[in-house]
Order: sequence, then C-alpha cells, then structure tokens
Amino acid sequence: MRALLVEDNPVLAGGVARAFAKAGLALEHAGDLAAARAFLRDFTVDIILLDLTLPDGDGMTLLAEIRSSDDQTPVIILTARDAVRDRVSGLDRGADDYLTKPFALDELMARARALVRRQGAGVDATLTFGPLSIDTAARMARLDDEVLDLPRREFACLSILAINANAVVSKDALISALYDNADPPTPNAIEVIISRVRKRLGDTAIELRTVRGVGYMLLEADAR
Amino acid sequence: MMSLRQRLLLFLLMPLLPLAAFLIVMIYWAIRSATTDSYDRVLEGSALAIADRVVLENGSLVVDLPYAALQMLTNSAEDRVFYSVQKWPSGDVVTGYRNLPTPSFGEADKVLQQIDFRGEPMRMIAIRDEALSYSASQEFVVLIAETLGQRNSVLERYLSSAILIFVVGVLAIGLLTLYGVNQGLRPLRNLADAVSQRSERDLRAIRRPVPPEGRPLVDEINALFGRLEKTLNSHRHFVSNTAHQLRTPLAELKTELEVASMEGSDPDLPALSAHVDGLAHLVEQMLLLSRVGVQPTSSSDDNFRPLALSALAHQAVADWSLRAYRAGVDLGLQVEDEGQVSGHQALLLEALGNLIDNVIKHARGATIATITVQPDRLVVSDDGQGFREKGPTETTVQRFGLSIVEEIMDLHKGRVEKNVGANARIALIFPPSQEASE
Repeated sequence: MRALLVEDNPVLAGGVARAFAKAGLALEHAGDLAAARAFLRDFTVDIILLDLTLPDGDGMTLLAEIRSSDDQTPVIILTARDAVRDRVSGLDRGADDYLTKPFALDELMARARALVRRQGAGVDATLTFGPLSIDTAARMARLDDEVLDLPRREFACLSILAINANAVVSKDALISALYDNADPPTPNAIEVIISRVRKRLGDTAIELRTVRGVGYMLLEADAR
Repeated sequence: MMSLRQRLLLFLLMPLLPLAAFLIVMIYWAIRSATTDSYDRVLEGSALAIADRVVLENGSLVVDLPYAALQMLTNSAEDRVFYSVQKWPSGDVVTGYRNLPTPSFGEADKVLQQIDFRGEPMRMIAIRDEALSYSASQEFVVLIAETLGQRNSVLERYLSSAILIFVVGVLAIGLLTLYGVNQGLRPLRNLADAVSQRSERDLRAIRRPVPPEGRPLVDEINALFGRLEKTLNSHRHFVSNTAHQLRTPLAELKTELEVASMEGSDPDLPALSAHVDGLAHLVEQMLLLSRVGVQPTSSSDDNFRPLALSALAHQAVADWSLRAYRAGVDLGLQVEDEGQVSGHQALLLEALGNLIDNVIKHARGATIATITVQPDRLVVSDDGQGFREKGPTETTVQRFGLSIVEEIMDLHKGRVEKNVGANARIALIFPPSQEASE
C-alpha cells in the first residue's frame, strides 16, 4: 500500500511518516497543493490523506480535481474538529472518510487500510483482516489457513463485515446487500445468518459483535 | 433608599396634613360663632320677654314672669338657668337670684358675657330698661345666666361630623393619589419586566418606548449592554484564539508521543499520550463552545433543520462502538420513537459524543451503556456506580464536556436532566416541535 500525505505541518508529517514506516507502509509527502498536483501527474497511489488548510489553497479544490478526472483513489480528509461544514461537504464532494485533528496515528492507519481494502475488494481477489482472508473471486474464506465452507448469504455477510472491519455495519445496510427488494427477508433472517457466521468464526481472534439497536461489527478481539 | 413611589406619595400627601389642620380650626371657629349667635338670640328673646312684664305699680317694680319665657329657657334637661330682676342703679333685687354679678353697661343697654357663677362657666345676658307709670319711672335690669351644656354638645356634634367628613375626604384623596402614582409609574415597571424576561445571551439594545424621564436610564443600560457585548465578544475571541494557537503544538506533541511509543522506548509514553489527548480534547471543546456562544439565536442559523433523533443516535452509536468496546462498555441503541425535532446535527452529535465519552472514561464499573430515543428526548444511561472524580484535569474535561452539552441544548431551547449517581441517566430534552420550528 502506498499513500500520499498532503500536509503542511512538518512535525505532523514527520510523525505520520515515521509511523507508516514502522508499520511497513509506504508514504509520500507533499507540503502544498502544487507539490501534490506535480506528484499525482506522474505517479499513482492507493490512498490520499488530505489536509484542508494548505499554504497555497484549500485541500477541497484538489479533491474536486481528482474526482473530476474520474480518479476513484480513496481520500481521507484530515480536518479540524470544528470545521463542521467542511466535513459534511467533503463527504458530499467525494471524500471517502474524514478524521478530525488531532488524530491517533493507529486510527489513521486502520482507516487507511480499511479504505484500501474496500477499494480493492471489487477488483482484488483477496481481502485480509487479521487471521481472516477472503477470496471474493473464488468465493472462499479462510481462517488461520482453515477453509470456512459458507453458504452464499453467509459468505456475502462475512465479506461485507470484513470490508468494513472495525466499523459498524447497520442492519438495514446488511439487509439491502443480502436481499433483493423483491425477496424481503423474514424479520429475524439476519439474526439467523449472523449467528451461523459467528458459530463458524468460533473462538478465534475475530469477533463478530452485535451493536444493540444498530447493527454488527467485525473486529479483532485482542484489540481491546 | 426610599422608593420612587414612596417619595411621590410623601411629597403629594404631606402638604395635605397642615392644610387639613388649618381647615379644621377654621371650621371650629365658624361652627362656634354660629351656635353662640343662635343661642344668644334665644337668651336675648327671653330677657326682652321678661323686661316686657316689668311694671311700676305704686312706685315699686312688679314682675309677672311669663310662662313662655321660662319655658324657652328650661327646655334643655342638661342646662340650668338663673335669672334676676334688679332696680337700676341701686341693685335691689326685685325677683330671682340675689348674687348674679351686674355688669358695667357703659353706653350700651345690652351686655352679653362669659361669667363664672357657682363655680361653673356660664353665658349671661343683661339688659337695661325703664318701667313707666303715669307719674313716675324706674330703671331696672334683667339678668339671665345659662350653663353651656347644650351649646357645647351641639358644637361637639357639628364639629365631629365635620371632622368625619374631612377624614373621609383626606382618605379619598390619598387613595386617588396612590392610584395615580401607580399608573404614572407603570412604564417603569413594564421596562423592568421586559428586562427581567431577557435571556442572558440577548444583549441587544432595549427598543421599547419609554417616557422621556426614563430615556436616560434606558440609554445608559443600552450603552452598558453594548460594552458588555464587546467585552464578551473579545473574551470569546481570546478563548477561540488561544485554543487555536494551542491546537497545532498539541497535535504535534501527540504525534511525537505516539511515534515514540510505537518505537517502544519508554513504558510511560502511552499514559502521557492519553493526557495529551485529554488536553487536546479540552482545547477542541473550548473552541466549539466559544463558537457556539457567538450565535445568539437558533432560528437564524441555517444549520438548524428538521431531523430524526433516531438517525442521529444511530450515527453516534456507530461512531463510538469501537472505542466503547475497547473500554469494555457495550454501547447500544434503543429506539422508542423516531424523535422528530429541529436541530443542529453536528452540534447534537458532539453533545451525544461527549455523553458517551463521559460514560466510557468516568463511569465506575459501567459495562452497558444505552442511548434511548423518545419523542422529545435522547437519554444516555449506564449501569455503572456513578461518575468518578479523579485527577483535576479529568474532572475539568468532564465538567467542561457537560457544560458544552448544556450550552448546545440551550441553543436548541431545550434542557439537560442529570442523574449522575449509580445507574446514571442523562437526558437531553427538546422543546415541543412547534416551538423549535418557529
């Protein structure tokens, strides 16, 4: 995974660079919009981490340029917490996620990984989350190299949860992903599927949690 | 200091008292002279009637006392009458009491005077006349003295009814004055009511019409409001600027600490990093609060839109689930109603986030936290043993977080209901929807 960080503060940029290097991730750094444009003309990256207040303009203009050239590279906006309008309009204008400053480095890396994973899931054959790996093309899931033999809906359910690992997937989102409108599920169909998936995951490092009243979340149990 | 009303009443009513006393004295004299005149006339009539009956027979005076004359004098039970007919100037008594004092007539034939007789004050009339026969004439005087009982009682009766009428009149004037003063001071009271109904956030000038006498006061109050608003704004800007200035170094410090702790050099680093987190959070909340305080009314802000509390709570639970899980808290949502209100989505998410953060960090022994959505409220409850008061920094952050929540609910014209003991419940209560959408 290769990321581009567009950030004018050298201390923050240096910190992010060291953390990424430590985690074995490649990071390029651009100090302003001009440097970012020059870099993106010649190279492609898997994800862009974009600060909004830059010395030569608003990061939002770069986002608009990227999206208007039909480039679907995931973008995480790094914004001040009180810039509420920016946050909302950023998501409207095609940003994939946002993080408020000051952010935790491990959270930044986790979100970046999740986005790259999600982006790759459509094209890429395999998706990994801890000991779990999912081959979407071959429709095969492995846990610690042991093959999990899952029916179609259970597999789709696990894939969606794995793509969004560490984040909550709402029950409504699961229903609309697993069922056609023409074929509505019985009220507790989702619970049945979830409990089957959970049983297959068993007592491993991957935990499928129910978020009461909201949905479900796949996470690494030792992340606590 | 004496109230304006008391002063007005004092200066309007005080002059009435000497005036009333003067008038009462005048009335007393008028009544007294009127009663004295009328009783004196009766006395004189009696004396003339007696004098008519004095005749000279064979050189000596004879009196045939007329019944009517005495009747006239003795019709009062309380008064006693003394009379005497005497020769003049010798003073020999012809009939009646011997020792009634004879006045000095001078040129006059009639004298009315006040005397003391038998130890009592009396009114006495003396008339001088002449009895004639064919051959001779003899001068004589008729004296009649009368005690003052009836005169005094009549005087008292007239006087007491006059005083009664007077007192009633003064009371009526007093009440009318009181009513008038109250009416006159009404604009002042209306002004006070208007000021007392102001929210502390509303420092606009008072525009209500006031009488010219009140204008200087209102102008001064408005000027004070203006200065206060300026001070408040500069205070907010100061807080906002300070927080802004602190933000970057804190973010840098946090990043440095995290990188250092990733590289694993010092076991104390994660704790230090957590403290910096708390500090950074505090700064962000200060910024938010200073920004929130600048907006005077919610209705003018286009960020206020109709929204469903259930969707809001859904998002908050999704945002915070991972952090809650890592802190060992099972965070969930219970939707009893959609909860349609008018509100500022980002601010309300911030408020809910503060409450969830509060449970995660400060509720002792909490394992379950639930956000419940009801028609007009969001309730955050947990199963902990109450909130812990730990280090000074943490409690400051905690209190500050709650005061932000209160500030945000204030902007929504709602309120916060806190029950922070064991099984804490904090409710964000919204006003009825027609009020919120005004």
